Amino acid sequence: MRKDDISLDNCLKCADCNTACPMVTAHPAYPGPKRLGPELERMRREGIECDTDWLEYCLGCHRCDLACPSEVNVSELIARAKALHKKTPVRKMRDWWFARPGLLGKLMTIAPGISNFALGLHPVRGAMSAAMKITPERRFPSYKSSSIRTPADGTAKQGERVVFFPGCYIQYNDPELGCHALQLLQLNGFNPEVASTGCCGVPSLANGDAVEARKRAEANVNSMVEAVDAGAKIVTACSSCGHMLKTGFANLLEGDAELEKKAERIAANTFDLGELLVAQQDAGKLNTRFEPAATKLKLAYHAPCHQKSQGMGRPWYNLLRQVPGVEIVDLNSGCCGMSGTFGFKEEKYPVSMKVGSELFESIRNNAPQAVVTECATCQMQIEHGTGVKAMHPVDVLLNAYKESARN
Amino acid sequence: MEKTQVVIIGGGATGAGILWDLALRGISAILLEQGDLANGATGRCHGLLHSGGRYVVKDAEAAKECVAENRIIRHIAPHCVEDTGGLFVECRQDDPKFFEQWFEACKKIDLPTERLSADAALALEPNLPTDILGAFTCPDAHIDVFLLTQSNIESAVARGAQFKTYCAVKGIDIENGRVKGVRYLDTLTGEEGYIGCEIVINAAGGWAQRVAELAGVEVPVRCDKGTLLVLNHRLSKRVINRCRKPGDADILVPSGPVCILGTSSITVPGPEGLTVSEEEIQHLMELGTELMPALAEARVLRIFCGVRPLYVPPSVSGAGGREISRGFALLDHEATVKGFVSIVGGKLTTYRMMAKAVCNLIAEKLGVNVPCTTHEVLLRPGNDAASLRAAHALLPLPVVEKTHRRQGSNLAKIVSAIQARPELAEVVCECELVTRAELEFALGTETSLPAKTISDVGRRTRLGFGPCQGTFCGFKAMLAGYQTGRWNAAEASRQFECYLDQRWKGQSWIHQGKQVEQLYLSHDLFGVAYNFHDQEGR
Amino acid sequence: MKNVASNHFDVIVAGAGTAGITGAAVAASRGLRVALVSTGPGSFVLGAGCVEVEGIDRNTPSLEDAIGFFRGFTELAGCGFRGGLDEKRLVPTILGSFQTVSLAPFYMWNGDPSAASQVAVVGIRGLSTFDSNYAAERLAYHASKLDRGAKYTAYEIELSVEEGTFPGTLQFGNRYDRDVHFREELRDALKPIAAKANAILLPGILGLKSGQIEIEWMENQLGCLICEMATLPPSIPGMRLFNRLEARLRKAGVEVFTGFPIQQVQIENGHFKGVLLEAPARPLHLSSETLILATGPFSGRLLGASSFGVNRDLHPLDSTGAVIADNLYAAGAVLHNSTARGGNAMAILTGYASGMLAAGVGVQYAQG
Repeated sequence: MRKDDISLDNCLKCADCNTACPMVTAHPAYPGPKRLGPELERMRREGIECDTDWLEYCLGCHRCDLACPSEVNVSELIARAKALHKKTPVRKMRDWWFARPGLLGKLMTIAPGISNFALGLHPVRGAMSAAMKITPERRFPSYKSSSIRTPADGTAKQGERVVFFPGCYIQYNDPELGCHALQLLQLNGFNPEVASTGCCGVPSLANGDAVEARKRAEANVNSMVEAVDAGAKIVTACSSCGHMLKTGFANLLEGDAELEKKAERIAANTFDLGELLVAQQDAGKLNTRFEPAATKLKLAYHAPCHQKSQGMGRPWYNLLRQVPGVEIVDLNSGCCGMSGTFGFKEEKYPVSMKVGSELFESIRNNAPQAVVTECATCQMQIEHGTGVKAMHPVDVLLNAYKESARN
Repeated sequence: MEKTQVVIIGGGATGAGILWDLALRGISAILLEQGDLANGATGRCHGLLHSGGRYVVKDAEAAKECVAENRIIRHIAPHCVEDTGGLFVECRQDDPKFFEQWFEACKKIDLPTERLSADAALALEPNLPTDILGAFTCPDAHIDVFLLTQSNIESAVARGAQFKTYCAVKGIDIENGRVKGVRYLDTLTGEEGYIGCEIVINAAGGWAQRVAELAGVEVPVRCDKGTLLVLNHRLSKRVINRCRKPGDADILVPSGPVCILGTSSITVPGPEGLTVSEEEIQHLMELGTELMPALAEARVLRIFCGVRPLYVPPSVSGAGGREISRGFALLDHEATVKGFVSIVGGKLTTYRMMAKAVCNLIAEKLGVNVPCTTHEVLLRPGNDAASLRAAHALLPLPVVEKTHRRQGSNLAKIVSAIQARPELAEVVCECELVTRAELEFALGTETSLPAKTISDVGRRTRLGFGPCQGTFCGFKAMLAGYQTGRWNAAEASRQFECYLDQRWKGQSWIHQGKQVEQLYLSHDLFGVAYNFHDQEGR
Repeated sequence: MKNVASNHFDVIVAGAGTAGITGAAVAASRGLRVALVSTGPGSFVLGAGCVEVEGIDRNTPSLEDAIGFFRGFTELAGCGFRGGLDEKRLVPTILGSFQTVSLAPFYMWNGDPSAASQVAVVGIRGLSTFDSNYAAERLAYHASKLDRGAKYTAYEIELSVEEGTFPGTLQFGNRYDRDVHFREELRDALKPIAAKANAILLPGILGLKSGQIEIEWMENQLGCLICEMATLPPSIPGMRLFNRLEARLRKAGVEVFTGFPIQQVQIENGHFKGVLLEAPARPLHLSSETLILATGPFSGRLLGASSFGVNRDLHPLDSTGAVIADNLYAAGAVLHNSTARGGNAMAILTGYASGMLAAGVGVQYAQG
């Protein structure tokens, strides 16, 4: 049984969390993290019924946690309430699928051509909207069924062993990005292999399915702990996966001492790819054989909320600043509003765009050639909201290497 | 000049219970209370509706009374009672012979109890120490002391009774050895008043001795101080007692969103000027963590103390606070002053019984042949479904539930107010979910329990009772008082400064944990940032 | 290639209150690579950051330089402070009282009765945290007690609110930042009042990110002085000040780490090495040549004591009076445990001094 979180006692009611909450800022009707978290938690423990549809509007961005001067686990308190929240039947059914992108991905990649074609059809999107309230305003990312391999697969492996955790997006929508990530790792002295795991579980938690999230946590922990115990690091290129591996597993597996310890070992050895490369640089081992720049590349960096919440500084931004020819600015303009599956929900779509509007304006003012961000759904939202191309920092860095350095 | 049959001095549970009982018997009465309702021991206790388990070994009589009254109060005032149930926990450090004694004693007086294994007890209450030996269940419950007192008063007022708060009795008028009237001073307005009456009931608790002196009569009262700690959130669902001889810090009572740990027993010279020492607090915390280890990390919101007014019959004047019976004494001072009666001692759980004894005596004196019916008549009519439905349409779930619990049938008036002015649905006390409508109701004229200070508002609505201790909502309450014309600007400022003083006092004794920071924040805000507190001239 | 991604810095400043921000700004201005580590906005969420000098000796060395630096920094950040050490300026509050300060941000400067004789105290209909009638009456009372003549007239405007919400300063502040229609609505509501007064006092709602341009726009549109009052927490003007100053620090190249409490201050043989921040999965280790500890009144435990003294070089001392670390400085409210007056001035002074000392510039900060 999970322990009660008593950090609600730390709340001094300063409401800094409310000023940092992107939902409160964009949508004042939202009660805010102070209310949904520590305030209602006191009531919940009194046995007062506190369920509200507003719990569905928490983006899980963790900005409240970062803003809190008193160490209240605000987003955790809200997440636990979310897990007990009762939804309408339509939302329940839809969110069941959204909580399982791994399953969805597997199904969609059986015949990706057909899936992608169907998802592009008006009538299909119309039906999805009518039956499941999935907004027709957005394009679904296309599904691809190729595997993630390094070009040098099959040859002798050298370097520090790392296990690459792809996440559902890379696995089912952009395996090529996964290949690029592996390449980047190889170029920097690592010997990467791809973890055979499923979804990290973030979408399950976000959709209030704590049971599924726990299942995901257990499966992932069991499949990766051996490698970790043998000294390998786990590397992620998706901020949300990274956040989950670093924080979520141990939390969900509380109550099972052995699993919890395994989860803690996994967390202690999980690195964001950018974070890992910065550590390489600190150790003098970063591959800096960059191609001299032909033209200037004007970029803007958007730090995903789940990147900020990992407390590792701004590794990708600081790396890309050093790439010749790259002119990059840190937008620091708030949450994009997508929050994974959130922005796909029809009733949430307008607010999702409202939350991101500040970022969109900032991008328009900056007028970069592309926005760099390591979160796939941030990329989707940015492209959808501004029309500006969004790319993963892996690709920017990889492209910068000399042709010779790539072999 | 006012005139009535009976003047009751003391607005605690006993006094309020007497007012109600008299009203039911058609006897006119006015109650005078020097502070706000439940200012004395009533408002400063655990809020425990005793099952009797605490007294069952040493004082079977008192325990039997509790068993009976517990049932009655649940019947007449269900809205004041939260049926949390209770546990008497067998702690490893305590005497196992006592556990047996306790269980047997309960059986003898028909106190329903059942023994649970340690595992079963921990399954119900995970925060108990993991090394307990077991626990006994019992029908302990939480009783909202303010609501109980207020309900008695409200119901009495509905039948024509009257009461005055912030009116201190200055003299008892006696002519030819008979009570003629009572002189009082309104401490807020400075006005003096006089009420002519036939009977004066001294129900002044810790002040009973002083009131008796006004009548030239001696009523020895031992003031026994108990200190209690309020914890920010519920650490248990049930009342948790330690199964041992009654001692310090051995009861934890869930009370609304908070829980209350207590208490101590220290003889003090009088009911005022109470202070709490650091040693006392440490002592309570040490003992408390033996019963509930989670206390070590829990946030103490407030520390308060009250005085048990113990009647000291001449035979036991040397005994300690817990040894004097918790039974009560009804003193008819006929021999010295006709028409002057004192009721002393007792405990909250038996307030109704005490009131009954007094009123039976008074009825006899006045020749009123109406028996007591307070064991039957409900203290608050139920709420109507229509109001509840309407409330749900206007307010979020938890706000409806909290408001309903606090205000009962007054919810209808609150709902109408919001329907007329939708802005009143705004929550102004965010810790306790109090709406502007409820706040204005408490400050307004439609309530039969007018609030004269911001702290009074707190006692009627729980505004300011949460973690911020009024820092954020006290100001809004003050503004509401100003806007509704209750206070002019200067009065409102004074009210707020007073309020801050009172709120700050209860936190000033806390020396560690988050509340220290909360208090600092409050001082910083109203001291430095708004430069308010020092500037208000008195 | 300079490693801008390194977690080694010249200075780590712990705490983003007035002292920490000043220290970081000073260090950055001297060309140092600075990391600012914080949890929360310090006291900015409570008040408005005005600077009282009462409680500090006017002739304290470096005080003037410190205040001068601070003013310049706020100017660059778009929230310029006005005033000086010898000023005694009255800043009105929502409680109808006056705070006597020496420096205040420009948007609070013109609340002094000497700035305007006809003051319109403007409330917003339905705002439960402010009443203009109450405030106007109390301000008039206090002003006359202080022998200042100014006429206070109460007004009330009505502003639109988002569906399903109540008027609130946070909502208005956010909309002021994001929505030109709201700014125009506010202007239009204030215009008729501005015609009758030479200063408008209103609760602080002019944005959480706004700077000089955005706020003076309103003044220009109205042709009338504006003075905002700090709101109940979260204080909108306070958060605005914090946001602008922090943004300015980022622009100056300060690396900001927000939301990760300090787990440990690593000191070895009387020398500070680095800090461990509590971060997911593993502590984040930051190292530097110097640490400025400006973590507020409840953080003495970071150095193993509930409070500690400092020597003339702002080095914290242990219970025996020995310097804890030769490259460790303390600034701001961590130096005392009470709400002493002059808090912000002390914070600026010690922040400035520790920033300079960290940069190797000898400064005196205390008398004698």
